[in-house]
Amino acid sequence: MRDVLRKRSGRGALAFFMGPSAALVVLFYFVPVILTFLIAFTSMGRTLLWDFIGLGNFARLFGIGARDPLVPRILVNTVVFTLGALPVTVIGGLLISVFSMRVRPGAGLFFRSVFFIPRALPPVVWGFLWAWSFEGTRYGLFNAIRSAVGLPIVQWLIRYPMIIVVLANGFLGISLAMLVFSAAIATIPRDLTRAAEVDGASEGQITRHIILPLLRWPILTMTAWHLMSFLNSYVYVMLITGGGPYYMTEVWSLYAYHMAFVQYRYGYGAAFVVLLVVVNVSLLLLVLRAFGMRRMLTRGKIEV
Amino acid sequence: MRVSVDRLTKQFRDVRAVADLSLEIRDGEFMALLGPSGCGKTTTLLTIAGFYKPTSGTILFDGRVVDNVPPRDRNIGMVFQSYALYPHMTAHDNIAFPLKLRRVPRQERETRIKTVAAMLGIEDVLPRRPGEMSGGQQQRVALARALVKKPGLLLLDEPLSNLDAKLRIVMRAELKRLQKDLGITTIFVTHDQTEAMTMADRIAVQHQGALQQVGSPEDLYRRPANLFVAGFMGTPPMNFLDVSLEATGDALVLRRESFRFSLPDPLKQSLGHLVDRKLILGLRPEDIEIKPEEASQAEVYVVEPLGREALVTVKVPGAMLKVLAPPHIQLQAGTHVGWHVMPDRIYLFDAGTEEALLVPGS
Ligand SMILES: Nc1ncnc2c1ncn2[C@@H]1O[C@H](COP(=O)(O)OP(=O)(O)OP(=O)(O)O)[C@@H](O)[C@H]1O
Ligand SMILES: [Mg+2]
Repeated sequence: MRDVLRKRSGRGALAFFMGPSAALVVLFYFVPVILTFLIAFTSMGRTLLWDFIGLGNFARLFGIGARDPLVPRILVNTVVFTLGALPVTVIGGLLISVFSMRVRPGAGLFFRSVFFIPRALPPVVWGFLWAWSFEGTRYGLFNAIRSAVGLPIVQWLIRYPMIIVVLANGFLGISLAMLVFSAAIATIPRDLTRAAEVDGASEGQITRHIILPLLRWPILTMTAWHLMSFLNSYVYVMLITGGGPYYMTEVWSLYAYHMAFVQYRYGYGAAFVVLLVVVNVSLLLLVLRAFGMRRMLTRGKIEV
Repeated sequence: MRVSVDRLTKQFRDVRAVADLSLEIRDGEFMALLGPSGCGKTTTLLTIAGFYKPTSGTILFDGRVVDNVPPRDRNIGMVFQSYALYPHMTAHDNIAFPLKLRRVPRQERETRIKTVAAMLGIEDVLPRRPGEMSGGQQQRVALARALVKKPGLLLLDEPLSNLDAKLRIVMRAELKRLQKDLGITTIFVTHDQTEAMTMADRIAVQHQGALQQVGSPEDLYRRPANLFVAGFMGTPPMNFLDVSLEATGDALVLRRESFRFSLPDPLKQSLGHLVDRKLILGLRPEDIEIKPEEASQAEVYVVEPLGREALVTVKVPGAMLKVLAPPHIQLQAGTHVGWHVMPDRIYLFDAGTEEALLVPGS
């Protein structure tokens, strides 16, 4: 039956159903990527002239010949930012899921709703909330509280800029991680945790020996997902610190943005983007290879 | 371990899953908790295990109230209907899990795992994960995990229901033997009366949360306390006919349309006070005799050969009777048959209260 259907409708149906989305992907993903690749080999600036300069932009980026003194700092920032936000998201998501699903199931919905709010907010609002909370004057939320109890105000965004952007991004990631982990925990059969309890396990031991091992795939998936997400993220950094103070929170893609759209060095900015795309694709291949693409795409949420 | 369930009630919002259940389980006893689906067996078991708090009533282990003792401290072994093996652990690690939690030294742990695996014949599957085992193997591993910690009480929730018919019969005997050898107090939940009858020392029959009767398999079969128990115990189940008891002259007669059954003298005395009451007559399929008889109004509806005997459904005015007949009996659908019951084999129940009024041998 299936075979008959497949044979009869075959190619035509495939083209009909996949065509539009395939066209969109080509138009809005591949075309820009190709354009960016081309631009990366030009010295295109404000005048939008296609002056091909070979590997000039990349040479500069890698510090061969005329070097860009900011590149090492941006590289370090990107690594710190990504590796900082990743555990906040994954461990935070796990903690909240386990707490809201197992320890206090009653309060669970409330908790999950609270941590889902950031995802429902427009990015500008989320960024503004953080910027306002840590505003360095006494009008900022935390400084207002401090002044109210007589403490001196703190220049949060100058003293702890990286911690703040890491938390802002990490907390945002929690919403998705928490949703995925909670759904996975919900599918763990009740009898399994009951069996563990009869076997003498405490709530902590149940979490460690039963829940977490069963969440292996969701954890790996969310880690890979957010690793790539944070690596490419710049919106919230831009909204909260703008990359400052003096490039202290300037991450890779934000620098590319600044080069291209603030300094109008399109060619040089594009070189950063090209490198990021290369890193992304390599990471993606690595992840798919490590997890096994089939498994990742077809596996159920937990292994039962 | 001795278990006392004292006036246990468990209410879930609008459902009363267990209603005023009192039950005494002796040390070393094999008690079956028997009842149809949804009657509250699992709830009773989970309450005894400590997963549910009683709405009212108490549970005592060896005379000690355990209502506030969490499951992990009750020293129970449990096999769940789904087996609930940890899917990410091998059989060996599943069995080792309770011992590791108790910090049993490695050496002793391995010895105990080996012993229990040998006892249940699962040495071969120890390195495998649950996903790579058959249902019967999973069931044994689950049992091994429950037994390895030497519990004072073993709780089994329909452990045989996922097995095929043949394996179920094998495991029935093995489980019974194992329980006797180890002498662990065991509560066995099942909806299968054959399982309960064949394995248990005593059976507690539960219906809609309430306890109907407790007794030995023989007791429940011979002397059911009410219509529900009578209908539940025995396959094929007992036949029930609505009848009325009438006094005609000197005789007491059970009457139903054209059917009449004169009670013999000894019964006349004891049942005299029931005249004109609505009753239900209970007849076990094996107590009815049939033979071809042209003039009879009863006729064979269907014959199901079972090998050792034949199950014959007989259509009588207004009812169907199940009859176990010798296999060689020559009957076909449509044959008119006369049917006959020994007066000392009949059961009578009150049609209103459903209490048993007469059971054979009383
Ligand atoms: N956690 C619960 N919340 C609400 N109602 C429940 C809960 N557990 C059981 N019930 C209800 O209580 C009644 C008894 O359920 P229980 O699981 O004890 O039945 P059972 O005898 O084990 O049935 P089965 O043979 O189908 O397993 C059912 O009506 C069921 O719907
Ligand atoms: Mg049940």
